[in-house]
Amino acid sequence: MTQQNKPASSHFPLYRLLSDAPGGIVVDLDGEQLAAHSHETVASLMLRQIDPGQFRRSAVSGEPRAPLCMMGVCFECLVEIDGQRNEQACLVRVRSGMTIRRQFPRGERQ
Amino acid sequence: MSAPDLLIVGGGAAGLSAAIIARELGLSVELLDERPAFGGNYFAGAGNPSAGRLGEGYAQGADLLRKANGPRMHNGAFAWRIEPDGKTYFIDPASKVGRISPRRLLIATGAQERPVPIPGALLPGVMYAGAAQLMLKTFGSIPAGRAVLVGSGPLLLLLAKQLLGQGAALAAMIETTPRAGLLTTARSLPSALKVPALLSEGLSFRSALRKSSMAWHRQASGIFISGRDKAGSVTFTDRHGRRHTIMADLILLHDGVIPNDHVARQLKCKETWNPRQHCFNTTVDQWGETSRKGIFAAGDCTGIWGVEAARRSGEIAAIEIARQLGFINADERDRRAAEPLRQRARQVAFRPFVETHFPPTLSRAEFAHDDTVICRCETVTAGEIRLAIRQGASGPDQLKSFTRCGMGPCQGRSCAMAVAEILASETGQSIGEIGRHDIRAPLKPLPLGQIATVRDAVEEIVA
Amino acid sequence: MTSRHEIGVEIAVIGGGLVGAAVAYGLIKKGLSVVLLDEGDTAIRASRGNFGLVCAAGKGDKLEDYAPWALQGVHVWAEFARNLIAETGIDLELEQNGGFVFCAGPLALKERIDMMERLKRKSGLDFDVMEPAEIARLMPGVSSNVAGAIFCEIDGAANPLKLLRALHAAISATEGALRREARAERIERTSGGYRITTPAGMVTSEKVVLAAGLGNLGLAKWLGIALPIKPMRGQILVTERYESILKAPSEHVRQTMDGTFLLGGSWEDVGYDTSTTFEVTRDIAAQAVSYFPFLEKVRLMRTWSALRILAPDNAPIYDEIAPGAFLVTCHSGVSLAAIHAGKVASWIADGALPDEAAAFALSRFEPGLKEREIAYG
Repeated sequence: MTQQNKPASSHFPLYRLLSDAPGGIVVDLDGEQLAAHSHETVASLMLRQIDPGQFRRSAVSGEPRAPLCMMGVCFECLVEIDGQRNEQACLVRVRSGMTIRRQFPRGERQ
Repeated sequence: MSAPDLLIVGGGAAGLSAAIIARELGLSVELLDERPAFGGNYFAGAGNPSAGRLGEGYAQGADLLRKANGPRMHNGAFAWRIEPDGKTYFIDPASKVGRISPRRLLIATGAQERPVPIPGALLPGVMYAGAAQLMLKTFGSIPAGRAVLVGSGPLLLLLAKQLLGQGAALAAMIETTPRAGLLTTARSLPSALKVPALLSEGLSFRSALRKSSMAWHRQASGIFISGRDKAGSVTFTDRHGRRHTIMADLILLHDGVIPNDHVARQLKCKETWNPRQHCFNTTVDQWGETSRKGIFAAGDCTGIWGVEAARRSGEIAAIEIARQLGFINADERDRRAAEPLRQRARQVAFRPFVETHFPPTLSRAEFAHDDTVICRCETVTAGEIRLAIRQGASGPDQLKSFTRCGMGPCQGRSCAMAVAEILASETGQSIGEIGRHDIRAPLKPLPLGQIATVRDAVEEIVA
Repeated sequence: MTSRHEIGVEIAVIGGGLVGAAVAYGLIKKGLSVVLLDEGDTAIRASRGNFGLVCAAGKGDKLEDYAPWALQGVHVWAEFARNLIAETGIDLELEQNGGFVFCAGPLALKERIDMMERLKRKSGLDFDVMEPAEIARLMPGVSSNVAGAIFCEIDGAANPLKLLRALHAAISATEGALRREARAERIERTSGGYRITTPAGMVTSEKVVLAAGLGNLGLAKWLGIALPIKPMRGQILVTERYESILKAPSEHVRQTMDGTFLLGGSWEDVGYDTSTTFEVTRDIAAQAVSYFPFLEKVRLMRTWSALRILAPDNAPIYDEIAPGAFLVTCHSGVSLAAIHAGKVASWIADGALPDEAAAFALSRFEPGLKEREIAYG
């Protein structure tokens, strides 16, 4: 539990996998190749790979937002998948070759 | 080629149970579930090899999934338009529009977390407890940093136990559950004692948590979350009136669950306000038929009765549908339904105990500060809603059109209850009278191109 | 909240939608004591389903006097909006950068040009004819599936929901002027005027304005008048927000200031059925995608139906249908909001309709009706 001592402001993901087994699926997240397990969704993968503050920004307020419910209700996990914007990342399973783009207003990236 | 006998929307405990029984009785069944795997919230991930580690009750889900498995069970298929005669348009995983015109429709869309509008709840790093449970059950993932559980309800206690058992670092449990009055306990205890397993399960959670090193605060109030671009800490007042701030990376909120009832609402099925559950219940008869003939609803989407009741409700609905369609006669129905009806009654009898012990606390929007955001999608605050009410918005639909509250992608799933609570407190009407805004198709946003290209290409799914 | 006692005012306006609210707002500005009776959340409420165009193009096709009237209505909109925004702080999102009417084929375009020429002789309303390449300057992304468009520089759009909200806010600033949950159930003549029964209490007034949309059909019956209006369903689609791209609206596609696209243009004679249908949703989506291919990936957020309130010639009806009882009904509650709050409110305040209003009298449909009205006086 080394993470426990990190200050809250540092950048690290909210979740980690219990198992160390490598995933067999490779997806592209904003140009970076990530290994994923076949049963994962885009949201569950991102939650264990990126800092929650970097997930997306609201198109309305510009504030950072990240997944909230993981059950298809809250629409806080919206990402662009294979060119289609505003997909619910928590409902879409990863596929090999999938291209995932985070959504920031006016194209800004963190 | 003929119309399918039954279309089930939702592949959780109720929907799967209904599918199994309906097929046994000879019905042709189609099932649509928007998620990539069946099981709903309770049995999410139950088909995974590692499911056993979360206990025996959960492992039953693997059996349910195995039995329900079949060719007409559609994953990743989302019903976006359902008409009063049950005709359903859906998008399949290949983004094509399909249509099913079933003889009977069963809505089994389960429950969702009760939305919690408190200061700081919009920050990344704030999630619902149910989300963390899905991360564990479905994906074998646990919190990586310091997690704090905040709120009230059996799920919060269960989740704490499950996460601690998997080695997660829980910094604190901040319970907002009020101190149970002796009188209310006395009233609801007798019926709860009929389900001793559930009662002892609850007690076992608490004793397991006491043994852990996790800080445990009871009867907390005045909760807010702080952070700049993500959550960093949670602040609260304990039962002795002392303020605390606890640093955290992940803050898991929970204030019970409510029906995920958008489908029934789009169909304008009758509903009633359940003051004990503090949510609307879709009105159904004992078989699960709604106020619209031929349209049934089962499981937690009709009211919060729990997973066992959901399974029985699904079975009961399937049995009655089989009778209505002539697959069995009334005697056969009564014979087959007797046991599930009895078991469901037992489960339902337990609910008042849970409901009295865990009344909504964090989610009560009538107490929200004016600057607290109620509508997450459109960023509408409690203050803006109150102003619109003063300026003439007399009901939820007018309020929606005045403020855009509920017009965003979630279509009001996160704010409808809060709006009703604020309207009630501002106007003096009851929540039941106020109701919620109309739900219009599509049930979830979908690309125009997916609709536009289907002029002559809607695939009618037949039995 | 609701007091049951009887209240007395100079003018009672029945109908809390855009037409009634605009008239009531105008009357209050003139210092009259007014109550606006609003049925509330369950009303049919065409005002909530509105597309939001502020436009003169094409109005008057079947009643040419409507063309100059609509043009006047558009001309006075900006000042009306300035005042209402200053008073309430609510932005009406008025844009008057011109507006388009799309034509899919050359024949439809030619017919539309002929009509516009004819109306121009009556009203002086100027217009341009544009090909897709020219349209694209204001509406980037338009495809060659559009044969051409009529462009009127003075046209535009506003946010109808905010307009309604602002009118309600301005009216409710006067204590007691807005009565909610006050559906007019009965209108009776009294010696001094009218008595109106509502669930929120009784209202007596010297004058009454019938501005309840399709509800006017039932209300006018209390005064012995049958109205020739009927519902005409329109289905509207709204999308998710998108970056601001369209600088001007059209009848079929417009982008709001929030970034959402409104898509519409269906006309269905189906009575009071306010449901939506898959077929019309599909057709509207298909047409919008055909005109603007980039919309293919933009998400449909909601669909709804609203009932237009149509007279046989699609024009407004303004009339004094009994002494002191004024009828105001039209399909274009947004385009005409400013002139309803201005001129029409003045006519009602003065208690007599001028010659200018004569073209919009009820008697244009059935000459017999006028005599019956005289018999009342």
